[in-house]
Amino acid sequence: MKRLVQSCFVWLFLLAGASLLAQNVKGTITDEKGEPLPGASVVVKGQAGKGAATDLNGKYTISDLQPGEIQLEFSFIGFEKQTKTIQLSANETKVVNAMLKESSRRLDEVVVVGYGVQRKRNVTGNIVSLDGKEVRDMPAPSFEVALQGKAPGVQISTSGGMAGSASVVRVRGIASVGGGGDPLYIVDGVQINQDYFAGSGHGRADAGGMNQNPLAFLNPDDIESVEVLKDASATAIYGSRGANGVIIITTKRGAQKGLRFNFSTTQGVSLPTNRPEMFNGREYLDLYEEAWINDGNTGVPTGLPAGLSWNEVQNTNTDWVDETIRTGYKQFYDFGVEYGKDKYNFYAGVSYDANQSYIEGDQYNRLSGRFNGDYRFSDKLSMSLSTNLTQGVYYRVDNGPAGGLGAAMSTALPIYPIRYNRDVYTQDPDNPMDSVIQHRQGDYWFEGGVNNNPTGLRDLKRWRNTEIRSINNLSITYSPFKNFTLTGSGSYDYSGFTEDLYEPLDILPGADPNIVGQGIAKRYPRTSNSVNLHGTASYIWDLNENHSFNFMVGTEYVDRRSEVSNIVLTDSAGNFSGLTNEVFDANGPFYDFAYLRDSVEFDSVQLESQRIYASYFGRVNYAYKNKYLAQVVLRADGSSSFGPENRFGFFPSVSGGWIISDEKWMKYNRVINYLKLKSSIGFIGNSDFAQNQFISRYNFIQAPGYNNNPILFPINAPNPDLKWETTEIFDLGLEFGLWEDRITGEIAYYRKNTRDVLMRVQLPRNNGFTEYFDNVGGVLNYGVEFSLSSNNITTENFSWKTDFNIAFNRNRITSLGGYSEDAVAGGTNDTRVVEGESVGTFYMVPVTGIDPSTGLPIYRGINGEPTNVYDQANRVPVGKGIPDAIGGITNTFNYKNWTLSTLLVFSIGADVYDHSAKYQQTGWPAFGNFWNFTPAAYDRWTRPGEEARLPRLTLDNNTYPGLEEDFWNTSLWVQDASYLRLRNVTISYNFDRDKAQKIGLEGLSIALIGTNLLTFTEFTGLDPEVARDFTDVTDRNMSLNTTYLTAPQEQTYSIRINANF
Amino acid sequence: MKLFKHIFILLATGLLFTGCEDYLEAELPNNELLEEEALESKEDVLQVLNSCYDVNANVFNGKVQYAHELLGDNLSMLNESGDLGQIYNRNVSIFNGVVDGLLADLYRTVFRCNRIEEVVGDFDFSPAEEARVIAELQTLRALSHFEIVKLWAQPAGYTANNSHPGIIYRTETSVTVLPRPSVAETYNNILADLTAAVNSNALSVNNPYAISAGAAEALLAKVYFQLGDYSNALLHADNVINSGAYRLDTTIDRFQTDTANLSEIIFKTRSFVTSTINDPRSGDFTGNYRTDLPQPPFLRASADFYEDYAEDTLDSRVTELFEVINADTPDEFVGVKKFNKPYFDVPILHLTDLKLLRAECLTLLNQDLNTATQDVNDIRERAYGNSSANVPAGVPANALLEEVRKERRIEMFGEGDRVQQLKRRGAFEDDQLMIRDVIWNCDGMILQFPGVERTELFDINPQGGC
Repeated sequence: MKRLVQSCFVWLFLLAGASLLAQNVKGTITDEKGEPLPGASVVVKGQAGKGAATDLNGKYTISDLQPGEIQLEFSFIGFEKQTKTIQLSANETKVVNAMLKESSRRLDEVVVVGYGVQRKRNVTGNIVSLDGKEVRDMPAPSFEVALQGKAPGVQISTSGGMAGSASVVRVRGIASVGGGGDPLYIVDGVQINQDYFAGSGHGRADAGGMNQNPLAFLNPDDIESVEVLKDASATAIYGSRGANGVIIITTKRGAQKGLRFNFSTTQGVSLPTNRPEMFNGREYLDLYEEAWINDGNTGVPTGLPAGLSWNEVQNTNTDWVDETIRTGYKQFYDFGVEYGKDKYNFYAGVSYDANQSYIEGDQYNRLSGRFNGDYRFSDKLSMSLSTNLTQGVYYRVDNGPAGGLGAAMSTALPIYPIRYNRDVYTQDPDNPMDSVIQHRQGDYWFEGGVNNNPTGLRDLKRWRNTEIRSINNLSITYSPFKNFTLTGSGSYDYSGFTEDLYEPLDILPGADPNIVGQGIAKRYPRTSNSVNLHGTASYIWDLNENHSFNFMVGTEYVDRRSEVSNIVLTDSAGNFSGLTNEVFDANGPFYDFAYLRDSVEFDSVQLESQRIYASYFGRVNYAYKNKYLAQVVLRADGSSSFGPENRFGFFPSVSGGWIISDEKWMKYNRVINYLKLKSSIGFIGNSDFAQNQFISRYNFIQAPGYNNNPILFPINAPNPDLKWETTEIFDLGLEFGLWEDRITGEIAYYRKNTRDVLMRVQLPRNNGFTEYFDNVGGVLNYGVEFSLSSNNITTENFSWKTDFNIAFNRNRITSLGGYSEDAVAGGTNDTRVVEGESVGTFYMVPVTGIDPSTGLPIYRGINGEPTNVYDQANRVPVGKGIPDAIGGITNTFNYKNWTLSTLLVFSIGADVYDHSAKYQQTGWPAFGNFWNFTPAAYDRWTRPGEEARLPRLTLDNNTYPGLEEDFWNTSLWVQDASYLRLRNVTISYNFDRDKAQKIGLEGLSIALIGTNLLTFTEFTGLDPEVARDFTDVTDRNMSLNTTYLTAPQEQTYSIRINANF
Repeated sequence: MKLFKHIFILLATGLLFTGCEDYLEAELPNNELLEEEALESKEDVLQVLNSCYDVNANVFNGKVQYAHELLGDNLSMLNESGDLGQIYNRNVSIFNGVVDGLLADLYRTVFRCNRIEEVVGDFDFSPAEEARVIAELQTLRALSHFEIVKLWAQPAGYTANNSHPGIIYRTETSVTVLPRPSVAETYNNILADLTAAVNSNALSVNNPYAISAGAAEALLAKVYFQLGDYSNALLHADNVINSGAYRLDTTIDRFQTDTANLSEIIFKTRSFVTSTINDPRSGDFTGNYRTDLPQPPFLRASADFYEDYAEDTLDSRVTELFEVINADTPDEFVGVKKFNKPYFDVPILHLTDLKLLRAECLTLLNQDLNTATQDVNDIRERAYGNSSANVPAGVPANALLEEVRKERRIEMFGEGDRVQQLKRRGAFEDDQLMIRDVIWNCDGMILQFPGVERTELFDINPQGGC
């Protein structure tokens, strides 16, 4: 097939060649190794319209040239330009070959900026550009995981363990509290829908103990490049949502290199970075007995959960961790084809990813297809299409607080059996003299609670989330005259999400063992439709040699709707009686039973939310002598989140750059070959916030209402003054290149001052509502980022390159507008907003030690005095989840065809609040919680005079003075979680082209990849890198680095094969 | 020239968006209405008023009643844990969810009432209709605030001029940070609302499911009683009793379904349950007290309470409404049978309360002891089925007072009355009065506010722990 296509091209070129007349130039353009460069261009200077692009073999021909001296300019992306002057006689055909040198200046690369591209040297903003390969080498379902440690100031907290769970991405700290704190993602120019709470039923944010990843639809192998925009200059053009940074993803479009096929596969295994260690049955009972004795009891302990007696649990020892983890298997396949020609180019790809985590039953499968193409109708008119279709199927199990491995680490006690080991009978209610079977031998034992038999629950419960996602974009570019370009773009982002659950009756307490195969089938369909239209006009105006301008104006409109579907219930008279998503007496889940799908209509479609943006923007770039740079961006954004008075926000930015190295007095500096000083200041907005809070809204209930009369009632305390959260960002940066770019780097200082912070405030109850959405106070982030790239050794056969980056960030709440610390809470995590402290401060009663004489905790009172009474009035900030510094070190070694790459990532100064440790280290049966212990419980007080970290065990809720509930959230569970982690090691071998060609390939590489191989930390919990399940946006912003039975990260070992042909 | 043409086209496209801002108005979810859509007629306003009764019914479904009772000496618990255990142990956390929810719901009623008051003038109510609506919402607003001040503030009489911290009295809906007023100011507001409602003469006469003239005045009597203003309490109680609209029933059970036409009820909430509608509003009674379910009840009668009455086997209230369960075993407790039904209407204001109130006022004022005696005997005769336990005529005021209070305790068991009576007595009669082994005015005898209530202008209560 390929030969046929190639033949056709050659034939076409020959036809074209037959028409040559008069003076001609032809030749071949190659790289330094002599490899042909298809798609390189040759321009004849001074003869308008004369030029050509090379064919598949790097050959070109230019005909009908004027005789005499002519200048040929050869160029190709990533290579240095070359100019040759030749003399051409009348009727002469001359062969002129060119060998282009690869550009050593990464700074001359083109980077994607908002609504366009710029040469990196001309960029005045702070942009990090990553090649797609850096993303592809991380065997994770979603690309953002691969950004960690590679982009300074970008913090990625990968959510524990599960295959389909979302990561938390923070660019330069966290500026928002109640508004979305995640960066804006742009895929091929489209602001994508990124709802972190949509993956769980209707209105259920973190069901099953996780938030599903809305970015996992994107096949990492489709990605050509990723740009991270950080400062005002770069992000202001996305003013409406750029305050938390912008991540621009560009997918492959088909390089102009003829026809090219690519196949890659990754096969790997998944393990936990740290296996949870829990006590066995004997150890658990020993501690229970110790608590029993501590309380002054004697004799055989009683009070075990589930009505179990001391004797009957002696021989039960279930290792629930073993029951819930496994070696997960990962497989990924990707096949892509690229084709480029003068008029058009395209990329088409299909991939399949079956990604098992180490958690038993947890698997994310993705089948995706993509087609990107560009068609150039003429020099003036071109069209681009990007489309993808993805089916993500996520087989889910409970996790974290919801059960599964979370239960294995908590309330699934080792004294609980998995199954009944004999038939169990009970009194026949119809005939008290007789007995009936209650449980059969081999049935799952659920007497300790359904969640506390994670094996049984996993086997019987069926849970699957299915998403069909398609993002489509069509853009048309028209250049009616030189330097003026109009672009119109329309895109449609569709998500059809269906959560299916099946809960068999077997798991319900008191289930009849004779009834098998019946249960409740639940289905939660949600569709999201997002339309994005934008148009831009740009004009490049080179006033003269010294002054050049680039103008751009544009407008954009975004409309997002999400709808949920329900089953309509009717009463016996056929009248509407309610909505449901459940079918009782089902034999299985909807996806397995056609009769359910055929007989049950989800024909009530309810609008869940709608969000609209409209924006107008303009950008002017100015360059004086190509070394003094300036940029002005103006953007006005309208958002449906605000009332008419505050609907529009205006977000300007100005920036400047000075390429010092282009000054005459620097030109011949032997050390510094590139030096650019740049600075920007601007305002960016955020309206990613709950909708319709500015206006009073009501609910109506027809029946039963109250007293069988309808009721109508307000459902919110409206805030008509709600307005844009605004962040003022100042940035000062210095880019440098030393010794001909042998060392390149950048140092930047930034200061982000956020005002009118959108917060979902807990109101004093006297206001009549518990929640209120308000612009409250301020948040300040400031810091320094430093990145360095060094080609340490470069020889013919061996090279060693080091990339290092570190970012220091300080974050603090500057004002709370009079609200109390408890006004904003991060879910149940005891994270609070406290003036002068960072967002999401751990706000708890400090424990200063354990009284050796009594084994009781000693707290620090609000005035510093010791007290043995727990009192929440003594709560103070005891830690923070935001690190002081993050970064990464990448070392890449090349020896001949071998490449070894290692990535170390680190986080310094963040604490982790281990919310579950209070139970795991005390068991805490005093308040009716029966938890298994971790080995940390060994460091407890056991006898008078003993110095210990943990207090005495007890079964009595009166033992700890002042404590009236198990809400014993103290500094005892807050710990420094600085870490250094060997995130990635890749060893790859690239076969020589000639060897690859022997087996019919153009290129072949094989790589062995290991992730999360080593972790160095003082943190004693499971994993210092943690992002737990979050209940809402505020929790997501506030509760970074809290953990509650969060599964550890996964460690993977993979092999990746990549072939081109 | 072409450049200008293209710029014009672009601008025109932009103007299509900017012509009006309607395109930035997002639709509401299907189940929501804008206020301007929701409130189009006076019927709509009445539906909002009905929603005030709705929230009120959710508060008086046993929740507010047991919040009072748990602070007092009438109850014991299955185990003294959880949110209710904190109340019982007089050490409520700022994170106590039940207490938080209760406060929020009480103020939710207030918010809705206030919103009605703000908009009622915009609709075509007749003057009489409008006056009735306002009087109803004033009474509901006062009722909610009355419960809040009793639970979250030390009682009237705690300081000489009631200058101690009260609770915020809300009369408008805007979100504002307000200072904490004194108990005197709080009660002044309550009295102002109730007096206005009573004086409006606009309320209905005899609908027990809505605020009637009798309900507003009965509540006014109770407020004065709590304030220790026995003359005014007597005046208004007399007015209601003498109105003839209410009479004592023969049954000792006021907690019945809507099919029982009880004539002593002045105001109650409704559980509406039919073959097609299931809307019970007594869940926090039935969920916590019932002794006729397999699981043991969470709330029980205290030994202190039962010992006062147990020996009187002729009193049908003792024999029919209470039972000793697991007698002579370590698990023995006194079960409350009073709420052993799937659902029922919950009385909030009733004649028994007013008669006992009147009797106590008369006794304390040493006036018309015959009427006071008769009031007590009316209730006793119903409980005993005859006059065998009647208080004889001519007993001294002090002795009569004992009898009145003994009646009140058992009659009003579970209704959240007892602890406030004890506090009133502590404040006005016996400053050493003890309630379940602690002084009546210790910090833990009032509920702690949720942490979010604390602002720059509002100090929450001292932490309990007594």
